[in-house]
Amino acid sequence: MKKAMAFCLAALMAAGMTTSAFAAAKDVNPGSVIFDQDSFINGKASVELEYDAVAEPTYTITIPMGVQLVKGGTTSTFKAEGISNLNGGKIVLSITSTRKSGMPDDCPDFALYRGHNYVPYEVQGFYKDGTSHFVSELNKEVMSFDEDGEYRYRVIPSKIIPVTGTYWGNITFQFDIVE
Amino acid sequence: MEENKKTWSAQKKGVLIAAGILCMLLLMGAGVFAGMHYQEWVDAPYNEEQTFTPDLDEAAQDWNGNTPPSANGEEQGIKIPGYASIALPAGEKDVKILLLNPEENPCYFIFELVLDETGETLYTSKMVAPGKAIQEETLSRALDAGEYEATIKISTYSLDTNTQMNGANVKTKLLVG
Repeated sequence: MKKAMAFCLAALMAAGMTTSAFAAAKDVNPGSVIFDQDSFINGKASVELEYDAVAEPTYTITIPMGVQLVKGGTTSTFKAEGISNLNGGKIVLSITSTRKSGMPDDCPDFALYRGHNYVPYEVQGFYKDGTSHFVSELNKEVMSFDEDGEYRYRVIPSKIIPVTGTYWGNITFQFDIVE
Repeated sequence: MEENKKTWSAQKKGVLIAAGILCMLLLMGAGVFAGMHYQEWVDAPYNEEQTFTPDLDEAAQDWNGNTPPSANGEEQGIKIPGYASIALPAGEKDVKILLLNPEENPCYFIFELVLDETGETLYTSKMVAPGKAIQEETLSRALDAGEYEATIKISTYSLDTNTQMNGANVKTKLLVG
């Protein structure tokens, strides 16, 4: 009877430690717990617990694959998921680079490139409340959000596209977490 | 004698005119050819459509665990995993961060972990295919205990042509202790 009680106690302790390890998941990130029963002699049980913590992603943002530029502008969306894991924090989205490898040095930021032509553009970010603003500088806020959902932005050419065809360029987005 | 000289001069003139016309035709042909292919040549650096062999990271393994929150059936984009904070052990170069390229993505990922204050790169991966994840990394140096602002830079390259696509910088905090 004593042995059974001791074993149950050890199991409860292990379960408790497991629970507390996962309870801290938002800050420490979840991992796996290995339960090894080392000995169970004369009513005394000892266990070895190993917390193998691997830092896992807490949220996901789906970004467009490339930049499309057409007369009048193109609307694209971001999709934010798992934002509630940020414990009240919000994501501030900005653009940190608009260059693509191989683009000539004289091609300015916020421009798509083709041959000797380039087309400057602006980005218009839309907030959930319907307001929006234009961005044509790096590292300026395009939009922010504190809940899951789809968020729109628009890429608008600033001048007439000189030659039709495919223009080249990429956007590197930056996600900051602000409390 | 004078007659022969005149004939020779006329023949020479004819040959020169013919050569001139031939040169003009060649130049015109070259011009037309260049005009027809100019845009291809200009675009060539961006059309890396020749087959390529990705430099895959051997540490990346199949990832069957929890994937970041996601919904299916949406328009194709690139899913970027975000990290609010990352807990790391102090004084150790070997760390465990799940650097995941979600399965649905149409591209390879290259991850780079950079300290914001100094710009120092702590870790750079090779290419990670969709559905794979690196779970253990060796940093360039061990960190002292403390809190560090850092950025995970994710560069993306299309699966078939290796063309660079939109990328992301994910700001995070390294909680070293």
